[in-house]
Amino acid sequence: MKFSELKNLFEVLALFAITFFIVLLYSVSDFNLTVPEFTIQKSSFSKFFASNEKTVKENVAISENDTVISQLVVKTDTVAGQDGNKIVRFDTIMQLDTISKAEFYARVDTSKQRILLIGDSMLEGLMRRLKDYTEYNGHDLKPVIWYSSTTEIFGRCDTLAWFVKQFNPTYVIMVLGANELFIRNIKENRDKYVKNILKQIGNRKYIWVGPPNWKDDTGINDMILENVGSKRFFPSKNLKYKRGRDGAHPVYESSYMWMDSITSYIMKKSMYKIRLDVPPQKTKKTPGATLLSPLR
Amino acid sequence: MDFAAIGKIFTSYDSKAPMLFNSGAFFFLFIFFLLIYSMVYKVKMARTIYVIAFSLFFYYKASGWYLLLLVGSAVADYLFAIMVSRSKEEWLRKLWLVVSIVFSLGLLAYFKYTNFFVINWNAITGSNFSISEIFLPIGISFYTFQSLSYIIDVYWKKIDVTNNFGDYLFFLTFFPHLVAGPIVKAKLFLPQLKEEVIIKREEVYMGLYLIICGLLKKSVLADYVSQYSDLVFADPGHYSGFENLMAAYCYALQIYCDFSGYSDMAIGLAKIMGFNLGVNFNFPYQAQSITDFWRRWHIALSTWLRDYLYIPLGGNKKGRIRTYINSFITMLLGGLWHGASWKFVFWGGMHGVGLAVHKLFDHKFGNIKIEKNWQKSILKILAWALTFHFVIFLWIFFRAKDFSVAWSMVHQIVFNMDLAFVSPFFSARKLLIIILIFGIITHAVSSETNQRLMKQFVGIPFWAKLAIFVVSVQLAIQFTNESVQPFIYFQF
Repeated sequence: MKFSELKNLFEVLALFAITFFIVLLYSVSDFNLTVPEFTIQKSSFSKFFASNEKTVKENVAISENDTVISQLVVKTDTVAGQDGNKIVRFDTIMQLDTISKAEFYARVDTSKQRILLIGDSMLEGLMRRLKDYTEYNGHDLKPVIWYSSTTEIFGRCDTLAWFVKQFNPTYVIMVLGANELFIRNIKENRDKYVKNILKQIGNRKYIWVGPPNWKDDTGINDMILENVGSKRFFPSKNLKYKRGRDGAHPVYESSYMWMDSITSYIMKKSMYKIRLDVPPQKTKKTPGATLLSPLR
Repeated sequence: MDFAAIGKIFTSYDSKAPMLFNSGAFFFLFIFFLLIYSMVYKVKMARTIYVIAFSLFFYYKASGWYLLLLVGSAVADYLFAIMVSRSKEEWLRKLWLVVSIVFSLGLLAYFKYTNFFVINWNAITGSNFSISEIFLPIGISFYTFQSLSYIIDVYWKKIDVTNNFGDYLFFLTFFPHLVAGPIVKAKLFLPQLKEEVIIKREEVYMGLYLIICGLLKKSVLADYVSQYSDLVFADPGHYSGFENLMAAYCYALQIYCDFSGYSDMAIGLAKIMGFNLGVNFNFPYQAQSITDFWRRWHIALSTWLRDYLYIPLGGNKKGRIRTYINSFITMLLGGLWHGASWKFVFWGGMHGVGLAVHKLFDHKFGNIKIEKNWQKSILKILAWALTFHFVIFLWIFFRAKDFSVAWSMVHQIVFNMDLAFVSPFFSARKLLIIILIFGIITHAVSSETNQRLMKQFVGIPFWAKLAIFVVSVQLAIQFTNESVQPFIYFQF
């Protein structure tokens, strides 16, 4: 074996290894390198060096300053509880990030949207906050609340298709599943209804907001996720809520934070990213919603 | 450190996260692969076993237990080739060849075209057959064509049959080209396995140059512009004609950078290991005719189709009309190779029509002499613009979900070209414009310039190469979306 040949291989090997080491070192350090308008991003290698703590970027807020986006970082930390179960603790911190607005919007559809927000009673809190967003960003909003509704109820009739036809939305936000957390054999019983709901939405852009679990479900979240994919599913069960007297519905303040997380997901992670900049204040406006009574 | 998560990445198969050349996991793994490779590459048997083992692991990470299908078809084709070679009678040789082709294409047809066949059968006959979704093993179209090239060349006696199964498995499963090409012909690759592997300094750094180019093409250019083109192709009716046109341009850049980026990385990785996979792209959008385009785009596939389909059909030896028909049939089947859908058939067929029209045009007007240079220049520009926009027009059908979406896009471009949308587009998507212009500039350089740049890269000091590599990797991280985007050609 010639030494010169080995030297060639080891040189290129060194190039790979040093590059990997530099990128890794930067990604696990607390140091953030910034050049005008850009923060040098860290690789995902860092997640392997974070022991049992992981950081999830959950929220994006665009400041009034044209060049700065601030990110609300939700830190989750798993600790052992007294009964041996794992408890997830949430901690939120504000972190400034300097992605340019132009760069951010290149990934987002900035055109005006007609948004149909439809689903169960969980909409009551969400629709108020979404109204702030749609007014601020120049979109139209049509909320439809069907109290006590389920995927079965929506899937058995063409009510959704009717609203889609009437309002002709460019974007549908489906909030459904909270009344089906404890259904047995959910996949066998409800999968066909979820498929029918998606059929009614047709080829319009949509996301499905999962239920805000107050207890472990029997599979509704997984079933919806399986049908729509992670880029169209917001897993609300991962958040913590302050709940009302019934122990299920988040209080308005908590619903507002929930909506903030959903809009952040839509803008940053979903398949169809539309413009939903955070409005400067909470106006608590009640949008003109269509209310449908529970089926008896 | 989360060893469990690291272990999971390197051991388990996740259909949603196949291992890609531009992923951190592959980067990490390749360092260790290269370290051991440096110790074994001079010993043929050790090298063969080691590279095959790594390639099979790589394929497992990309396609799970369909790995067994790959190994099974390798065993079958290896044996078929031996039978073809050992048979004395011509009819028996032909029989074994036919059996082998039917076997290889049968597997491909089952995994790739069964659903397509059933849907069309139901549509024609009104029947209601249904079959469960068939998973398409990654890279099956590529390795099937490779094995076909081997067995046909053995039949034609262009190459000797290999009696070493290790060599054949190495050729078929070599990880740089395994999942998305380039389709390497046996007559180019198998002789390399018989020779001593020599790692030349120039080849190693040319390989690194290609890896850097591929990484930047894929992770910076292709993935970034895809965010815009995906948006518009999802619903062209919601965008103005100008925005649709820009999305078509973006897709043209995306598919070129995506696929040629993958090929560059594959060729570069092989070069570092001392192997030559040939060339797969040669600045295709500089083509001044469709014939020229197909000499520059996916060269491995177009030469495969030429050698094993177009020429056996008669090529250009059976008169002009047959030449046109042969071009059309070749491209039609080339389109179908890309996917089981009528849109790919249309795409291929239209390229076939383009080739036939160009050949006819060349026959009628090819002898006209233009003497003035300015006239030649104008003609070249016109020919380029026509070719480029014909290719772009057909990319719309290639990318769109179905014909209605494609026609909607064409309709928007032709009938809704409102220039009022130009200014907002440029102000809202500055970075996209910069990337698009950068992509055009890098594509506009001549092949000679690229070769010169490559040689300059080889000659610069170690620290400069390191700086360029670090900046390139960091740029890839900077532009990477939430998750690594799979290569477009994985699905074929």
